[in-house]
Amino acid sequence: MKFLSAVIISSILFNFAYSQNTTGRRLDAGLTNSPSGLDIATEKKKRSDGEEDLSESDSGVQRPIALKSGGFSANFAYNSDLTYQDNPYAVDGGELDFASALWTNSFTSSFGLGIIDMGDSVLTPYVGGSWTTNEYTSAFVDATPNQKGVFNSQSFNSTNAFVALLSQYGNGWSYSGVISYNMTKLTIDETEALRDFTYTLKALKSFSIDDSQIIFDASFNIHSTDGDSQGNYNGRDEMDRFDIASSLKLIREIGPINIAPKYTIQYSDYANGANDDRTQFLHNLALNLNYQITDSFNLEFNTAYTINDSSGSDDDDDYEMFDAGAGIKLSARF
Amino acid sequence: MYGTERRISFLNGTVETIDEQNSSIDFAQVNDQIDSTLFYGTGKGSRFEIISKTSIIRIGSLSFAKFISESDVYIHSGSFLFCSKYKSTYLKISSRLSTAIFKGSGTFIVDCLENGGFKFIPLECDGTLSTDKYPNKKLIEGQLMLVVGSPSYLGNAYDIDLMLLLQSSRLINNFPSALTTFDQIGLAIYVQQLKLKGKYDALIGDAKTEKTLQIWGFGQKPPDE
Repeated sequence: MKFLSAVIISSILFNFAYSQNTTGRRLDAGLTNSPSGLDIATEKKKRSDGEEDLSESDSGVQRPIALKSGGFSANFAYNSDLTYQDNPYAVDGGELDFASALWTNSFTSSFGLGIIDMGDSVLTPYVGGSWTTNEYTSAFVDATPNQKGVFNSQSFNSTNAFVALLSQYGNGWSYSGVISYNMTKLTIDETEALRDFTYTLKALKSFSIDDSQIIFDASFNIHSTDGDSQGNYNGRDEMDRFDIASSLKLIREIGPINIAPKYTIQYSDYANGANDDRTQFLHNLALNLNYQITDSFNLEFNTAYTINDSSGSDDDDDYEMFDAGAGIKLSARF
Repeated sequence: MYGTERRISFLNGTVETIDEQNSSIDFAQVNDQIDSTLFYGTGKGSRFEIISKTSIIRIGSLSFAKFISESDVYIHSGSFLFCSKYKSTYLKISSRLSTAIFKGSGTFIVDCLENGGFKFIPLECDGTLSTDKYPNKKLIEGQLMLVVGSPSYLGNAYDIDLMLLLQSSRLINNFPSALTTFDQIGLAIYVQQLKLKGKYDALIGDAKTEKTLQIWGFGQKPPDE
């Protein structure tokens, strides 16, 4: 979720780079008889042009900034990514087990609706949403005519909307509750193939070690999902499940590039229909390289490896998947 | 008034005590009780910390100050950081020319100006600052205020980058223990980042007179006209 990036801000604490100069300087007792005679104590290093050197002050650098008067904020972003996927349909063999490329274009917005000071924490409600086109293409891969037909039939658009309440604490922990709606439509015939409501409780802790930032999170998610590739929801409720997920992410700046490896593990438990006894473990190892050209323009490279270990369902849902791609991101914040 | 025991909990470099009455100089040591009749002067690169039951005061280098009581500090030059979680804290701050009274709780920095006044920089605060001409000004975290003149008044206020200040402040970084209000400072930074519109390519410097303040520009030089 885009809004969670705000959490990171508060925990970029603090690498201390100033060495101490312990050179002593005697004060002249003869000048201490009256406060007006204490001018010697104001002795400071002067620059050659006679101006005072800012580095002399122990108080710290004071850079003026401009702040919004209220707590409302708006974020907009556009992403365009082209990604190679060796197993785009997440299958273990069969006629859909071939590589593809996926071109995604995503329009995202989120709005902070206020900043509520609770003393030990700050509450921020958010709403937002996104619309994404996902087009399978034969870029990077040799595809047969049949496979190109599958690309056409499986391309989809997805819509997301969410409301969230985020509680940020000064020690770096944050807690959030999120309700999100996700809907997927196949591009070829506008069939609604998936509709999902997800209810999430999440805890997140961000902290710094040396020059690196580490983000840990754990979440509990309940999915109410209707999914059917034909759009008639015959198999509705079979995708209902709950997830327990946790991830660990490291962010390190090397030169102009932010490098961010991340590992996620997720346990899912299904309850209905053919998935009555289905459980699965998903492992995902991802790497993101981000090059910020300007405040609002980023280049990104992403790669990920996923292993899904499923049991208890009628179908074989085990799979492995490798993705690698690059894209651009344009963003604006108000 | 609260507990009166105040002692030096940390000292680095050279800190001298000056007795006005007999013009004698001595050296302060860790664990010394604070003598309200003495001036304390720090050498270049020298700093020390005073703790009491309710507050912490960190004195920066090239400072010259007198700690008249737990609720009364006179600073002739230099800078200090004050930190208290005690909600009814009362602190009178006097400089060569100006005076202000802080009420409430919080963490702030006082930085002396050449014009005899001082900068008051709240890092995290729930309280007010009063001067002769402006009583009970509610403090805003990260908003630098100038206390100038006699009778004293509040000059211009500037929102400043708290994160940068904390990263660069020796009153924060050059002491061995973390401030007890560090979590609250973290929240103040968080709120400031949520409200941030932009940063100016400038740094605030000294004020040689009541009406002027040095602003040091950086970044791209504007084209010649």
